[in-house]
Amino acid sequence: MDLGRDPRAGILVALLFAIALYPLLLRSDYALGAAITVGTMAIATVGFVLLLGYARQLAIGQAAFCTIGGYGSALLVIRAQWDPFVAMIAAMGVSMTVAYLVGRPILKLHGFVLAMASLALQLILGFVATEWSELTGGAIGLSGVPRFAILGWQVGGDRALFYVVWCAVALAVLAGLNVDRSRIGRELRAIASSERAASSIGIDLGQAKVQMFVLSAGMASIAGSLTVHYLRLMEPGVFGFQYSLNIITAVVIGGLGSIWGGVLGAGIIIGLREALRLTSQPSFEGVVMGALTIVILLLFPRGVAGGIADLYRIATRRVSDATEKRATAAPGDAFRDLAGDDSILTLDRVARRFGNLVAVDKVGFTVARGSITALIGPNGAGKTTLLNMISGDQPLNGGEIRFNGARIDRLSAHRVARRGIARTFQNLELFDTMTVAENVMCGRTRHAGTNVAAIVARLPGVGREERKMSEEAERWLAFVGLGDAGARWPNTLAFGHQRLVELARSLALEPDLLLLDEPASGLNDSETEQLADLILRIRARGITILLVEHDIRLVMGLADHVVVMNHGEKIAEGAPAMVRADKLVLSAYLGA
Amino acid sequence: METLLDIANVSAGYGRIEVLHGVSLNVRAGEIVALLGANGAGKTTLLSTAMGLLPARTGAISFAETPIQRLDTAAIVRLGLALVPERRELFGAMNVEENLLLGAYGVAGGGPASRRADLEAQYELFPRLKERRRQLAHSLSGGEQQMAAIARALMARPRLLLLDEPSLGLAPLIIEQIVQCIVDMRDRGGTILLVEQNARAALGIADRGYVIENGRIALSGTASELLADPAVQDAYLGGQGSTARAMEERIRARAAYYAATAKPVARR
Amino acid sequence: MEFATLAQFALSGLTTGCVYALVAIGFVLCANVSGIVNFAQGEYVMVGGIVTAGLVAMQVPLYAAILAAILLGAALGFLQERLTVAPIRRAPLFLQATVALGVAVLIRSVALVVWGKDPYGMSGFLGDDVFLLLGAYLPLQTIFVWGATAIFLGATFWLLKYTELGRAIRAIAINPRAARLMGIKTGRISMLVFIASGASGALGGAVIAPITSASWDAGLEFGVKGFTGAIIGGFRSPFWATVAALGLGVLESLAAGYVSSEAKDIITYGLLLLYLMIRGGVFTFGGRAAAAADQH
Repeated sequence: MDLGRDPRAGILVALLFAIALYPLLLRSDYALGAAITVGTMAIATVGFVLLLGYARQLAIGQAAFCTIGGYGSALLVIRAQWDPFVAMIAAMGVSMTVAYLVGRPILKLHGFVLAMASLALQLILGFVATEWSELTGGAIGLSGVPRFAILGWQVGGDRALFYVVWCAVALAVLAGLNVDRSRIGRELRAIASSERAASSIGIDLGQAKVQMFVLSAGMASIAGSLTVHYLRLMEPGVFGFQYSLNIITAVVIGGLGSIWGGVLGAGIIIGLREALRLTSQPSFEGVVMGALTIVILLLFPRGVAGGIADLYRIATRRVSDATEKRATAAPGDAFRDLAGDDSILTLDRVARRFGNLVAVDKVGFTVARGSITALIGPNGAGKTTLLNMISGDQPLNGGEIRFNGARIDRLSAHRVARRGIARTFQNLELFDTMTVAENVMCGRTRHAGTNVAAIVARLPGVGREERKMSEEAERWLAFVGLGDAGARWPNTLAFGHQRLVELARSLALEPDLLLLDEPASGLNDSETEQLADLILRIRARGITILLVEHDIRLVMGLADHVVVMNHGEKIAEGAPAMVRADKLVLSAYLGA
Repeated sequence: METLLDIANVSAGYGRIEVLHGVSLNVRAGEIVALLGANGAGKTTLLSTAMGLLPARTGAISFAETPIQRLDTAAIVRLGLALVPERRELFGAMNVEENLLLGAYGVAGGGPASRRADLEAQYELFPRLKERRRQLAHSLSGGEQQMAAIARALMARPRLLLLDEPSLGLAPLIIEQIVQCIVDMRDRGGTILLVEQNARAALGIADRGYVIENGRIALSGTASELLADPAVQDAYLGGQGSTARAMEERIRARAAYYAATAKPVARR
Repeated sequence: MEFATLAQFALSGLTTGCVYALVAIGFVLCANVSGIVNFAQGEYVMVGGIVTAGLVAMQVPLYAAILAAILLGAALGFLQERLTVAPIRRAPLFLQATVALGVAVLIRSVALVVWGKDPYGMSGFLGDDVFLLLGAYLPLQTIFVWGATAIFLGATFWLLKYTELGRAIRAIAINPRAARLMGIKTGRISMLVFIASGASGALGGAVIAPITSASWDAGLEFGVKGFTGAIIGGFRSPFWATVAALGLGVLESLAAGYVSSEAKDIITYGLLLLYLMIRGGVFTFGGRAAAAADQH
């Protein structure tokens, strides 16, 4: 953020001033208490934005982690006399561990399993808290929770606690923003755009979702701990089902995709609640929350913050740290060692069935390292299915596939990608919620060194890695001939250029083997020739190519080796000229 | 002869990608019209647009004088248009008879008795299906599935049948049977728009044909005209034509250039 | 383990399991025609119970109260589908699910405002006597629960298997695009399924109200347990969802009886959590899913 020019910097400074002066201007206990309540909820809400807005996982019992934080802090401070700050961190650790244990298996399943599992977790914790009276004080709970302290420094009164809480809010927002403009933020947006394409460049879908779940659990736990030190007590009703619903509504109102919208949403929710209490209609709280959730999602899905942010997005195209550098290095100069033995990919009696239909029938062939191999055959011959089995998108019903000698037929798509196999899709799957450059940067996931903790804390290595990724992306865009398209949005490019973006993204992986699924589909003659040239340049860099293609001119001009399929079987294999003259091949294509 | 289907200057696509650019074709009653073209040329997109699964962004489609480009699929089926989709798309977890009965869903009027009658008629045409009537659809062989898909579409008593690549993935012997089946349908008074990659088989039974390339109609004419035209092979095989050969040569030249200028690579 | 005690727990558990089954089937069918998990499913049951009990308390004749409850359930299903499902069919699924959650919250909150916090008790339709079966003493109302559920289940399975509408619903579940090609109006059928879910949920609530009493927040529990049944049944098959839901009811009752009534919820929800974790963790450890992965 350039403090000199960005108008948002000015607003931020003003807001910080307002928050700093708040307790001095508004002296009532009520106002202070309300602000602390907003602050603690804001911490949990910001975390939930990462889960619901970024990872698109609806969890209905998020307050479970507030409960863990609250009881954790209360018990450790009262019973074990721990320092409140240390207790808070310990409770956060417990919350995050629970989130990991529950989330890791569940987030592998598709659909709304997490929603209910999260609710089940909250309900279980609620019952345990009520029943295990010896530990938790039962329904009455634990009272006499001391004031908050940070490693010995006592937080005097509510005013001091206010500042502590809002510092925590600032840290939470910072953490969220760090995720948003990082590799992980990009990966989450990629997953939201196209899970298939994200897997194909090595993004682990489950892991990204689990990371957000764990992070949000940590923040919810902090919210719980701080609340308990404000209320000076903890009992099962403090973080009930209603609190979970409030967090969800706060995120919806604030804006699903906005970190600071989470703070805004928390403020609006608490404000509404207090307003309802003033008009002595507290039972209407649920009605208002439910109605707001529905109406906002139906009519204004980007929420309050989203609407405001739109104005800025039109003015400044600021999305992540992708700088608009021109490519400085000359493309295509570095060659790679073609290390390893001669066959990079071996298929052995590979088979795939759908019920009674055999889509691929014991197909076997070898792809030579450094070659361009074409897989051809009429529609329905099983070529795409075979490609999908190599890339990890479809399982095998028989046979083996070996890459660089090791079996890959049981690996999921993102693991195959990480081994060094990249692919493109016949139907073109670009991530349309990010720029062209960011699309290509996603391809660098395989080479990322920073982990989620470093990203949240924005350690120095993260900024370096972002810059490096951006440079690499620019380099690959220049290689495919789109050097100055980096800052554009994919849907503004011509179809042929969009195909090039997808290629650049796959190349950014620096694969050993590139699978191309009908790359010439939809291209005109001149674009097809340019594609051929590009494929040759890619091969010249040491990347082996296996392409499925219908355009015979491309196949005959480029391929060193051709494999022909029909009815799921391999019917011919050899040099292009030989294959072209083969009678079986001719009849397969043109009909007998 | 009455024009049953009239597609005039239609453009359509998926999301931001436009696949069809101003396509025009027509089908007259009692004809078999073939629509040929390479993969990705837009054949299936055209059929989906005709059936109302995809909106036509420009142009007009009419069926028996009735404009249909704004109608929903159910209404179009009721008017007498039916599609046998690419790859059949049977309801695999249901048995053959249930699949067929579903085909009659969109038919206006007629109670269970007329459905039964239609069902028996289909079984007469396809005795193999009658044998397998209680079998689950996904357990049928490829040829049987294709027959089931056709029978299912016929249950809708269509005036015009759209067939999307019926020979897909089928053995030559089975293809012969399907081809015969199509000819029989025409002889009984039906009208068919046949989308095929297998040009020879399609043109062998069609009256007229169109060739679509990159979303545009590149060629049209009677079946015999198209069979004799070398441009047909060029258009979607990139086969024997001189322009195709020229491109091949150019590409091969580039390949040689790169091979010559490649730096020596160490092999371990 | 005395058989009579076992029968007591099992049969009363079967009774609550019946309502879970109604909810589970609602989940499965709504998911199959609309693609979303209808979180409001449990609230339909709550509405059925509280409307019936509330009206009876106002001296409305029983049959009228039940009818009103069912009609209201149907109306809610209709409104939900037309106003909050149909308009956003193309929105991302998590957004549609959050809207469904909002609907559930709205319904239960309105119930709180209209009927208040306290639960409504209600006498059984034929009085509060008990009868003896296999050594267990069961309230007479049990017959109504079993009867209503059996009739509903029978009607649903008959509909799905033998009627044109049922075939259409199954077709939409298998392949919505091909279903449209058959001339099936998927939007209209989605609406019908939601109306039926609302009505059947309300019926379930009406018949169980004398046994469990009706309160504004009962929907949460019915929803979670019905969902559990649906997900164990794989979210595709109404039959297995029913079996799982009935089983869950019995299991829960056994836990309450043999362990403690406090532990019952912990055991039930704990089992759900454990089941989901095992489903996710053990079979797909970084490998390719054998089928097209679980849908819900």
